[in-house]
Amino acid sequence: MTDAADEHRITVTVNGEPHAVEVEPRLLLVHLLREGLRLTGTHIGCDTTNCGACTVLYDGTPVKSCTMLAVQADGHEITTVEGLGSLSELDPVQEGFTIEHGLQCGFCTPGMMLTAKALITNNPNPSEEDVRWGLSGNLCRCTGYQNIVKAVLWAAAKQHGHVAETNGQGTTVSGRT
Amino acid sequence: MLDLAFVRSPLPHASIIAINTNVARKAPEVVAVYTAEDLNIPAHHSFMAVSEACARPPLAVGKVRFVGDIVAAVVATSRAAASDAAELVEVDYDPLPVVVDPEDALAPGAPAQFDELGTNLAAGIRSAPDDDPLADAEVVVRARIENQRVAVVPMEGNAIVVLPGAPGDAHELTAYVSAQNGARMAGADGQVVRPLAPQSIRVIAPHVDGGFGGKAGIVAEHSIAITAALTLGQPLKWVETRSENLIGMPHGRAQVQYVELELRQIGYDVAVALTNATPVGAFRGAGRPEASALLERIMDMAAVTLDLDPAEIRRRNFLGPEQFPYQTVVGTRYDSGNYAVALDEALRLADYPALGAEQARRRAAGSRTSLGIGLASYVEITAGGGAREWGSVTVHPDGTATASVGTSGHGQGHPTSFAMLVSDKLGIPLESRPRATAKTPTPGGNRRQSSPHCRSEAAARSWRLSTSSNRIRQLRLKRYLYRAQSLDPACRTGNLRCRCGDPTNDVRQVTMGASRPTPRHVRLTRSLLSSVRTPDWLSQ
Ligand code: FES
Ligand code: FES
Repeated sequence: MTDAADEHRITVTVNGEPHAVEVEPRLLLVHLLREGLRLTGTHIGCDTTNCGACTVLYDGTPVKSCTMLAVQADGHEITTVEGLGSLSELDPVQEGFTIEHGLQCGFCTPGMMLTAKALITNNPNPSEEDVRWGLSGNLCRCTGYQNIVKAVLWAAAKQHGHVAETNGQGTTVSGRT
Repeated sequence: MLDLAFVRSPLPHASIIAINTNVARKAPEVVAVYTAEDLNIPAHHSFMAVSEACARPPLAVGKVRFVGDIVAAVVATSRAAASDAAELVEVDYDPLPVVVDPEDALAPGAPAQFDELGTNLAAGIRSAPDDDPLADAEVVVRARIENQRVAVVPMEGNAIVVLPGAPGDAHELTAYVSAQNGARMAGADGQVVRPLAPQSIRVIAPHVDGGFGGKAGIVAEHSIAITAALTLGQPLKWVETRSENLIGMPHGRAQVQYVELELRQIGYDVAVALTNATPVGAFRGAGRPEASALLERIMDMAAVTLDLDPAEIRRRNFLGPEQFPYQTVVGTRYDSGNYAVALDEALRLADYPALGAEQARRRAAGSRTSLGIGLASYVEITAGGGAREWGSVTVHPDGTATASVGTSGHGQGHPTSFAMLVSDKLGIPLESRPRATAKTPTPGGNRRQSSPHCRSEAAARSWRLSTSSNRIRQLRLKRYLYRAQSLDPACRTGNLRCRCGDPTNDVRQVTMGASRPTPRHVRLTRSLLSSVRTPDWLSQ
């Protein structure tokens, strides 16, 4: 329904790499990431800004990329799950999800981890309640959240080198970086 | 790749007077617009037929029966273009009276869903009329229990990619599907999408993000996508939106249960009603949770009536260990059990008396936080329904292995479980990531909590078979190992062992341990390893 004249030229830095792309004005950021840049780690779980599966970091702040136009990312830095860590060097958040069994099917996990990353960066020593509140924009259908919360507490401890506090149900870990 | 979008009914029940696709067909990027008569897909069931007479036409014929029923399908070169054009399809509906409640649907004069059926009773079963279970009853407990309708909502909705085969390809059709049950789908495709034989269809269910019962069969969207791709001879995909998922994916539960319990027998009278709500399918336990909820509830009500402790009424009604094997009134055979022991142990572990005391204390104190204590005694049937499974393990030249089984993991941890099992049998460390994938040679798929039982056994047996029936190859392998060791002393023993028990049969060390693998080394290793490739043992 558009022709090339409608396209906008934008430059977005994704996981540290600048991309100059032509996009339709109505293109959503999540579609640019998944289809334009083939970064399919960012998932789409709804059409209503409810689920948070599409969460990415926008200049370090978690945003739902299904609810932002690609053109709004012009000149900004985006981090997707592909930029969080690597197989040889996992981010503490990824390690936490592995160790605390923070996922089942894994569909919500990329969004959860990016939200968690921003959360523990801004709040190095979150309480369980902080974590639950911080993740309240991300839905998970499988886990019941218990282990996701533990994973984030574990990651905070690991990233900031302290002992995670839990409410007695979780494991207590000493983090070491 | 082409994209598919659907035009869905906004009305729960209506006659279709006309569908005008002219404008949509001419919209930019549109390749085709189909209605029922263009594709002629026979009406079919999703995965379990309650009544043969109630098969669903994938594209609505004559009328729509629920909000979300599919009226037309648009194929375009992009998803946005397909969605845009779907909005240009004009459908002229004549609304019909609606019934959404199953009890109302069975009332006389309720609007019929299938006119040719003349009733909304799709199926029913009741205990024999001459054996009135309530005759001579002293105490009868009755209840009407609603088990409410739920949407299945896996976080990943439905999705399918259809690749029609080129002439000469082994498969006429390959489909990548987010499905719990790829193999069953292949069989169903063969029946639905004629004239394809099941062998010419390959269904691949890769890592699936959540099923919960909702991805258990071939739905209307699948058969339309497959037929459209075959008609066009081009690859095509459909990815469900969440809005579509909520109205289109079969819902769960949605039962109204009437129970009458006399304390020696239970009578049954089951009716399946047709309504204008989204069709109901499997959901987390597929019927067993509903049945259990009914039984536990009526037992609790009976306990209240008889002034018995809920644990005691269950204990008194258990089958005793001496009664096995036992066939129930509905024909199910139980082989063994000692339920009282299990109940007593559960009560001990939960400290049942203490919980009861705490409950009483809170009630007496008028506490705002009351304590509910629920008891349920349930026997799970696992690996039911024919328990056949397919499995294969392929050892790769780099010392890793791939296990293929007829089920996909969608959150249960199957890939990890199977990888651990293969790791254990083959001695390949888990860190080298043995892989597990789902392919389709024979029926299987994930249902009835069967995966860990059948599939791990299938994966394990594949290896046993490959080793025990390949003595000669083992001998060749040993000879080769001997040679390899003389070529390079770094070829040590230890990791991957043949079942013959000879520790020198160490495949991984041969391939990985050699510090200077020569081309000959690699060639020999390849040929030997390919010779331990496992046959598809159950599909023979
Ligand atoms: S996809 Fe659900 S919030 Fe973005
Ligand atoms: S792990 Fe499946 S949705 Fe969260």
